[in-house]
Amino acid sequence: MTNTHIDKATAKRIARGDDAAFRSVFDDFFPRLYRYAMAHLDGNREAAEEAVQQTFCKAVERLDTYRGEAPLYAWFVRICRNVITDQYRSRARQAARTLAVEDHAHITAVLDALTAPAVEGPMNQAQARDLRRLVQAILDRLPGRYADILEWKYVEGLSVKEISARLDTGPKAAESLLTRARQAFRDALEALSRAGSAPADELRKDWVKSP
Amino acid sequence: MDETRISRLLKEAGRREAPPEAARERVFDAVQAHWQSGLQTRRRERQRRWTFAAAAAVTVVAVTTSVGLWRGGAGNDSLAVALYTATADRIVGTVAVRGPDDEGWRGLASGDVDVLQGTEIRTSRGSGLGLLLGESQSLRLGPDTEVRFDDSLRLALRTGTIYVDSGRHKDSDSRQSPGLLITTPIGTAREIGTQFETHVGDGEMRIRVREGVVEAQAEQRIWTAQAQDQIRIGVDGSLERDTVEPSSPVWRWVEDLAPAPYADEITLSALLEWVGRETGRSIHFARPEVESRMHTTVLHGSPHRFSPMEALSVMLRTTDFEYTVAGDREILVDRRRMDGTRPGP
Repeated sequence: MTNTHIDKATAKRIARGDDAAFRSVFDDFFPRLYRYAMAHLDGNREAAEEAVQQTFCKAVERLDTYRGEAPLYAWFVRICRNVITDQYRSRARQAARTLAVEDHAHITAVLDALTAPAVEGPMNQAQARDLRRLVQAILDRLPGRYADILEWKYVEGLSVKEISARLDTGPKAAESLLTRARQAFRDALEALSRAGSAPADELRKDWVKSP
Repeated sequence: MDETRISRLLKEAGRREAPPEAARERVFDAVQAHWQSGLQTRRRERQRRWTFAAAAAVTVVAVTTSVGLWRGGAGNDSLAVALYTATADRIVGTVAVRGPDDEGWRGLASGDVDVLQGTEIRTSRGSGLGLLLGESQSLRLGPDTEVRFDDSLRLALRTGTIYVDSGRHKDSDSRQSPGLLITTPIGTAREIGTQFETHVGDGEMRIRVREGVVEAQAEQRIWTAQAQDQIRIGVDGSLERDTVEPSSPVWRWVEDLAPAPYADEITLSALLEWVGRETGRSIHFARPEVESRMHTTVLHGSPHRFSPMEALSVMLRTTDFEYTVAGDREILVDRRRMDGTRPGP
């Protein structure tokens, strides 16, 4: 069974009133959507909260229209993006000037800088912010608990044994999950790199212009 | 990309920030209420369809069917009186409803809601509701409010704040018919063709009148409050009187819940009339020819989901008119200047 099949089954269960499915999706998606909204709303916590609430409300209203053509989380993100666009429109504000890295073609330039073999100088504040946002956006899109596992290993520095304890599984299974998580992260980065492979000079030119 | 580089990237990025727990709880409560309300509506619809089908099959007497419809298909023998079908037009945060025979509260979703005698509605902290009764009457509930519909002209306000726009102008003929009566633990407020707010809490009842007249009663005494009056009545029947401008910021919460005209097309004059009524501001035109074009300028797209001033700002951009707010009480409309200067008086 593919992931989208599982997502479709989950959506059906929620549409039928399954509380456990509802709670599981909420717990899984809320932090990710909140970070997505924060990044697109200039870090405005109130606006982000409102956007995420509206996203969930709209999503549960339309769950019976979810066809499983994309992962359920991606479907929620699309709704969230529309909600945020509506928020900007209704407040008659200019579109966000922050770099929405996961939506933006400028990612190639960021990736070039980030994946260079050696760091030639300290990153400036904007680069550091974009790096954080890009990596975290990728993590938020990874399936299952891959993001948690990668953070535990590389940010918190946990051993495989400690990770296996957190997952309540054996070290071999944890090691296997870690390998798959690394691969998924690598694949996502490469996919982003390909998606943003427009003429590099043009991208860099735009990159310089962006705020 | 090797593991060292992945490790470096993830370390540089750091741990993802967890959202505040309070925000998570607020959103969860609101979404869960909304979800359950939607489920309940769908169940009622299914039951209603089943009721119709069963009625057709066995030719159940008409009265049985009508009771079933009154009950919204709730499926018990209650004979609660249906008062009206209201429309929950704007919902902010968490709003819950409880029918006279319901055991618990359920989330209220946007759309039509059957109001029976004894139906209760409550809003949580930071929440609000804009409810349309019929074509022109608008009720708006502020945060931390609880009301019960006792009959079609009587509402019990237990706590919190309610705003009424009867849709009837104070000089209209309809003023002769009885207006809505709001009862509170301290006293009552009866509208006489108006826009007004009643608040009860902290040992007092407060009435603010934006337009028209309200009659207040407590401790066997009667007072009249006119437009721009604010009166506070204590539990002992004491009275304090004050003034509140129709465009005062105290009405801002009401504007956020204002029902917008539902139409794909609306004339500029209709839009301005709505904005003026909802914001308490008077509308002026810089020159006669501008005023004369208001009735013939048609705007496409409904201002629904915008607050009145947002709607004005957004919808006027599609025309060659612009506006300024003078002294916070007046809206001045003029032709847009091509050189970017503000319209003159």
